[in-house]
Formats: sequence, structure tokens, C-alpha cells
Amino acid sequence: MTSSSRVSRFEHILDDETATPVDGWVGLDLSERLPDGEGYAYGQFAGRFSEGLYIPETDWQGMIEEREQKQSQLSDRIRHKQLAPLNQGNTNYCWSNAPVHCLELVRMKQNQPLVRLSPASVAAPIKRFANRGGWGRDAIRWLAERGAVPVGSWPANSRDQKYYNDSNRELAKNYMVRQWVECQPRNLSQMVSLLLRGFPLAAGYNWWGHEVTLTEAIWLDGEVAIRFRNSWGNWGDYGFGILRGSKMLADDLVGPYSGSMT
Amino acid sequence: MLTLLLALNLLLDEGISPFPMTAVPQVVTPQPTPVADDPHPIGTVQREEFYVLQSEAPLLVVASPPGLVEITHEQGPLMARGRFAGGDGKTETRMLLGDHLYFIDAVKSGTVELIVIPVAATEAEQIQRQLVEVQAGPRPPPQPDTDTDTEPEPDGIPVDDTGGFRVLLLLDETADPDTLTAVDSLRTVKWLDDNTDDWRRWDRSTAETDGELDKEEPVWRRIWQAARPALPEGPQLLIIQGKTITVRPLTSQVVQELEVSR
Repeated sequence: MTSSSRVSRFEHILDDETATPVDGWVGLDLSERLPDGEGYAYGQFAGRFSEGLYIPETDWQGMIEEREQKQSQLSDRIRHKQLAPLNQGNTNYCWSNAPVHCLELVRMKQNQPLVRLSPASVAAPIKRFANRGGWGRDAIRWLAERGAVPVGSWPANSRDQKYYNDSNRELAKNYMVRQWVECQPRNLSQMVSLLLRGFPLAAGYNWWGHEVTLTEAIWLDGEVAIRFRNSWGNWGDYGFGILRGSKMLADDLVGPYSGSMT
Repeated sequence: MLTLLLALNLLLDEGISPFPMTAVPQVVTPQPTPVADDPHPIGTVQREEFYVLQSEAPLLVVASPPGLVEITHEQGPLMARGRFAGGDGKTETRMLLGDHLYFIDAVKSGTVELIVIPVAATEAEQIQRQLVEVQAGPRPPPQPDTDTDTEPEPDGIPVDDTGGFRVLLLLDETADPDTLTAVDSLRTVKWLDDNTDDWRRWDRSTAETDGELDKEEPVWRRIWQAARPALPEGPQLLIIQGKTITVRPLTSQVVQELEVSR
């Protein structure tokens, strides 16, 4: 068994020693997240994690080792296809960048043409073109019902209303995700099970006020950790960083089954 | 044959050859002078057939000169279906019993020496060598099958000419994790990129939802329309060659299956 996954020296590791931002960050806003008795909050817009998706904790280390040996991790494919990280610039649209990147990744897995999509084409209309924080359900609802516009027709971070036109609304219908699966907040078993099945996940963290894309489970110093991709351009190593300890437990977590087949 | 392989594998720790062996012909009726070849390592490997070294212990397998064969390590035991070096040229299913399996794939014609060194070797005598003739040219057509007991290969599903070689991987994310890992691997992706005119991986339940394929390329819609009524349950591998779709179960041996079916 491997003792530890390979971690690049450029990857930032965020763990229990990492300072929690005091204030100022307004990217993730879970104030509208109203969970039911089991912690789920996406309603009709995402299916709940089902028992058939569980992978026992006893299998995690072996599966991580196998996925790394066979280069089956999402980061392997991302580097192979040279899919650059998103960069949200000075927008507060992390909550849209993560689900949109999930859509790009699921399209990559389906071997559909690599089309870069505009997170602002999702977030800006939802927020009436204001630069405001939000949460994953708003974004995936939009992606399920309307889709995202390619950056060639709507720049990634533009809040200009001129892009919200009939042509782009029609174009966006080619880039939708209808089927998502939601995890309970701070449920490590559900999170790792989905990552070991190859799901990309959009994960919101209250401690960080931020939402990022989780790409895979790794094994670090005798325990599971998470590799994620930020939306801050070439932050870390090609956008990748590591979350571990209590910092990796997401307060809001959702992943796509598949993208629209176009 | 299987019995012989099993016996050989049980003895691997005692210095028995890991190379695939010829079988000893069984004498069914008494003969005046029965002739039985001693089993000896198989000395020829052709393109699109399995030449597998089986071992209970990890090995270092070196090919000299390099470039004539490609060596791939897999964890065993596993079931493999295809043509085997030393076999009769027909497709067959064999259980490969070693914990460590080394697939030797023909790349370029010539003679190669396989040098096998147990990872824990301390004595020069533990190193084994075998000259193998590599035949990487087109494979001769198989001999007509005169065995009426064998089940014929199922006919392919007819489809309007797709004009090329395509592959469709059809599975849900609830599939067996080993299959997901194999499908996600860069080896599979690179094989598909290098050897097909195009390929897709679809979430089966999404594809089976009415309207989800409306915007997919017409050729894929034609393939789906033709194949869907005949598809068995579970993950499936669809190999589309011109006017014919061949359907096989999608397993962790996806690349080997594709090599055989190409």
C-alpha cells in the first residue's frame, strides 16, 4: 500500500492549521440554504446520495492507490487534456465557477468537444448583474434549466447585460447539466465515495466563504485528503490544492452525473 | 489447459517459470507409442493476442531490445477473453491466476528477449530469460471452426453506415468501481483517442431519458437508435465498425477487449 499520494510542492495544503479568513469574503453565501431533517437542501434540482454509491472506508486507501497507479484521477485527465483552471478575477462568483467547472469536467469525461464556458453567464443573470455571492443550488438550477454560454460568446467574468440576449440563451441550451447528486453537509463518506467514482464535486466551505471544485480523494500521512481546483487562475499547482482534516468537510456539496450530450 | 496453468502458478514461488506454457496433449485412448511434448515456454507473440506472464510475486520484466513489445502490469487474478499466444487462434476465455500479471503486447516485428527478475531476487539464478518472436504484422485469418459444440459469436447489430471506427462506453456512476477506474484511466483514454475516429462515454440512465440525445451528433443518435433495443442490462461496450455494432459487457479489461475487437 502506498503511504502517501504524490503532492506537488506548489500545491497549497489547507488544513486545521490554516487560518480562517476573518471577514471580507462574500463569494459563498449559504444563508438561503434551508436543509431538511437529513441536511439536504437542493430539492428537485439534485438527487440525494443513494446507498448504491457508497464505497466502504476500508477500501479507500487501496482504491486511491489503484486510481493513482492507473492515472484514473480527474487531475490526470485535466493535465493530459491541458484544461486550464478557471479564473474568477474580481467577481464574487466562486459559487458559479465551481459548478461550471464541474460541467466542463463531465463534458471532458464524455469526450465531448472541450468548450470553455462562462461562469458569469450563469451567475450574472441570477444576481441581476450585480457582483454578489451565492450558493451552488442557484447555479445548478440555472445549469439544469438554461445552461451556460461558451466564453467565445460571453466573456468568463463579464457582467455586461448585452450578453444576455436571445442568441446566447439559445446557445446555452447546448451546455446543460440535468442530473446532479447532492451529499449531506460535512459527510466524509459520501464525499469520498463520489470522488472515488470519478465525480467532480462543487463544494462550498463556510470557514473559507468560498466554493471550489473537488477532483479526487488522495491518501496523505495515513489518512484521506482531498485534491481540489480553485478558480483563481494558476493559484497553487495549475489551480490544484489540497484540503485535509476538518477543513475538507464541505458545508454544501453537489456533483453532476452527466452533461447534455452536444 | 486451465489445470496446467493453475498447477504452474501454485509453483511459482518455488522457482517455476512465469512464462505462458504450451499444454501437454492429453492421450485419450491408449496408443502404441504415445508422444507428449514437454511443456515449454511459448516463443511467439502476435499483435492482438495475449501473452501473459503470471506470478504470485512482483517481478521486474525487461524487454531487450526495447520497442518491440509493450509491457503492462495488472493486478490478478482476472478473467481475460481474447486470443492467447500459443492458442488455436480463436477467441477464448481464460482465468489468469497470478497476483501479478504482465501483459506483453506486440508492437514491432522482431526477436525480443524477456528478462524476468523477481523484485525480491538475491541470486542471479532467480533471473529468467526467454526469447520471443514478435509478429506485429496483420494476423492471418483464423482457421474455419470445425468444433460444432462451441457457441458462435453473436452477430453484430446493423446500423446505417457510420463510416469509421467508433466506441461508445455506456455506464452509470453506480457501476463497479474497478470498471470505473479502468474507464477513467489515461491508458483507456489514450487508446480511444489514438485508435478511433471518435468515441463517447455516456451515463446510461441519462442516455435513456427521452430528449437527452436530441443535440448529439447525428451519427451517435443513429448508433443509439439502432443499438438501444438490443442492449443487455448493465455497463456495455459498443464497438461500431462501419455498418455493424458489436456489444460486449464493459469491464475493467476494456482496453484488452478493444484490442481484440479492433
